[in-house]
Amino acid sequence: MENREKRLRSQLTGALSKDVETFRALLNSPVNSDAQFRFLRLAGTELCVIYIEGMADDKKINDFVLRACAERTLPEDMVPDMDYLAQNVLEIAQCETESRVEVILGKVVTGMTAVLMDGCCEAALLETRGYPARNVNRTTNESVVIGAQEGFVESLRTNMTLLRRYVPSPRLITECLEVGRAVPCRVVLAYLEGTAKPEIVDAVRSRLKGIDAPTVQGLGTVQQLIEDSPWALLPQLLETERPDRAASCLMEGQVAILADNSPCALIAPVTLFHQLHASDDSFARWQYGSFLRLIRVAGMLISVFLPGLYIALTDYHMHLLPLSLIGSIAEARANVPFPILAEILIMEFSFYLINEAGTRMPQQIGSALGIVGALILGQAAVSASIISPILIIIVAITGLGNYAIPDYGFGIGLVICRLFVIALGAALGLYGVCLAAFVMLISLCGMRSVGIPYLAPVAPRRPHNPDLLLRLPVWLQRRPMFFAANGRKASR
Amino acid sequence: MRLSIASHPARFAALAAVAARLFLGLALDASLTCNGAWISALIGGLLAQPWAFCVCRFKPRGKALPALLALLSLLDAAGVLSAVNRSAGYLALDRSPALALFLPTGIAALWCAWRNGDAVGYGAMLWVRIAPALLLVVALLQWPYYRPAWLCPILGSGWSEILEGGVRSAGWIASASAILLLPEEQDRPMASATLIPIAAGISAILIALQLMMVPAPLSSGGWLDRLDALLCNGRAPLYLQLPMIAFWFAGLFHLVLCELFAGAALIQRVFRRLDGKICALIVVAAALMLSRLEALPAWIDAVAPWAYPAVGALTAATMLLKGGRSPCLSEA
Repeated sequence: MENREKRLRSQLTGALSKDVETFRALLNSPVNSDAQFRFLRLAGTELCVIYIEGMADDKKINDFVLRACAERTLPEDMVPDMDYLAQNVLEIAQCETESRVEVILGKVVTGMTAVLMDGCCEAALLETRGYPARNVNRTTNESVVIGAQEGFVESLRTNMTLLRRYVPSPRLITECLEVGRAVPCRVVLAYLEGTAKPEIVDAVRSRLKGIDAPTVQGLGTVQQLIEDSPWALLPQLLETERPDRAASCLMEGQVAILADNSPCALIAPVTLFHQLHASDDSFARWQYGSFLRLIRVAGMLISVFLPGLYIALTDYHMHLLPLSLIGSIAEARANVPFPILAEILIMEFSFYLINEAGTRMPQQIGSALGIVGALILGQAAVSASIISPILIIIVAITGLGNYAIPDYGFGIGLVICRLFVIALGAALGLYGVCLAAFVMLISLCGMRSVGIPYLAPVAPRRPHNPDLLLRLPVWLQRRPMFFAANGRKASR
Repeated sequence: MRLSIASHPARFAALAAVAARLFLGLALDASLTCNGAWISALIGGLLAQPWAFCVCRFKPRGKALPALLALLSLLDAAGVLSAVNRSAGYLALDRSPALALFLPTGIAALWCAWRNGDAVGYGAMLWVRIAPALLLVVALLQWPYYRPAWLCPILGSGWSEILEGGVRSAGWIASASAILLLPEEQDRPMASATLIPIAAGISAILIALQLMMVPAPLSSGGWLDRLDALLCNGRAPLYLQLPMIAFWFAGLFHLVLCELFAGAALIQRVFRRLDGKICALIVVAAALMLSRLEALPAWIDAVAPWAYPAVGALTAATMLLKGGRSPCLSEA
């Protein structure tokens, strides 16, 4: 192991056989059968082409490296060096030279090709990445009725291209970083120079560079490692699989993080209000966008508070309900043997069970789930007097409210908040519901996203566009967001 | 952990706390002012304004003033906790043990105080924005039941009681706005001081609305009678209570959190080596214990007329003897 570390930290020696031996050892060749070492000669000088089969594009290597070297004729007295090779022989657009073994190895395992030359202490690194990747396709979790339909894919290169297509500006900066000590993961920090605040860009960059985990499996891990409050229930970064949404965030002064093998982008900083926005809002006319947002806010409030309020009112404060409603509830619950809390927990658990099963179930038999849910939970449970029909309505409306929330992680966070409200509502009635709401409010007030208060620009007040809960007409949205570089400096 | 708060959120926290404390003190705790309670609130606001300005502008040095204000905040917070307990008991949980009602609020307050001052202030900022909407709903629901004639006689029990109510109010304001002492830099001391009469004005409006719901003889009954009149919206239908209950509890929670946080932070100013979390824990535990004492209302009643004169005198003495910390930012 120590020997391996020593080799890794070394530089190329210029003796081809020795350098190749170093790479063979580091790549565990020939045990690793996909590590390829191809020797060839150029005007009497021996070369070795190192690449990983499958990660590098064979066709590119054949046409622009091997054939180029084989067909090139050099003056008899000329001894080629690496600069000559890179400038005149290798017909690949991106080519750089490097002498550190660790860097060369890192590039080779990601699909680049290294060309080593006898007598030369540098290697040429060629951009030959060509692994199989999914084509750009429709988004699966962030569907919209109107607007662009394409989503990010697993290839970092494709995602960067998509982003550039939506932001065709030379001010778009895409900084490439590597995170993860043992198994590095390529991460790109994208922002619009002059629009994103340098402090925010620096903060995100330093957090990315500060990641000290041995492995980083995509953006999910990155998110957990860089967010401000890892113990908080709600996410402090926005995850989107839509390039148009990521581009819109960049233009507002936020930064986007892309990673290899992650079909989404992380946006920072975000506020609570961003979590309730959807791409449709911007494409639709302002009246429709505002209306849809209000529906979403109502959905969020219903999702968090409705079951807790139901249990508080029916268990403790019947006198607060209109008489006719008390009669209906009492009649519906007449034969139900369980207390209301048990009823709610059974239904909530069943709902999550169907939800989770529906996510994991193969698509071909997914329709069966609807039948199971509707028949068993809806009809049979009511017929067997296990659940009252009113509760089914409550849980169904609650579930619908939760589905109206665009962000998946945020939705799950709200489900956990709902359980908290249910518990306090069941224990303390309306006093408990109010207390739960108060605790959640203060927790939200204490959260930050890359240093930006989570409830800004409302608490604290910051200058902003009329594009928070309501989305007023585009021509009124002249002011940049408060976290943008050209936004008016917050006065407080 | 150092308990701290910036001046802007501190202003909102003080605004929410002062308005709630005056309403609690004058509309529920003290019946002596009767119909003139709203005038007492205004007098209290005017009396406390110069003190607030001195505190915000000159930042008196020394540990005596923070210590006194911490004690007053603690006593007041215990009283508010007791009010929360009685309100919860009145609503539905009258057979629950008192500890079961105290503890959740205490734990919640501790958790919130640990989030530090800006969370407390931002929460108040949101509440200050939500409260008018909720109050509008309440006012619209009970509009048919308001009787302006019930505000008469305007002077209620007489001038001397109103003035005494004003002095008591100033004392409550001092403890509820102790949070104003905490910011390291006051960007707008005049604005901070002006919010005291504004909060008193808001409170006066709320008290006047409440007085229009019930005739004077009823409002001078016991604490629970007055709470009943408040939460039942006078004679409005029962199912219209919901917005008022939410309004009442949210106001109390903000008040208790603001006072507990201020108490903990001021204790940390006195004992600088103590960790902020420990201070918050000590204050919450002390407030919980105090709130269980039967003698607490009598203590609060006895302290109330003397709180403001004591705080005012100590502030003046501190400034004369030790001076103030000058580098407050100039008025923006």
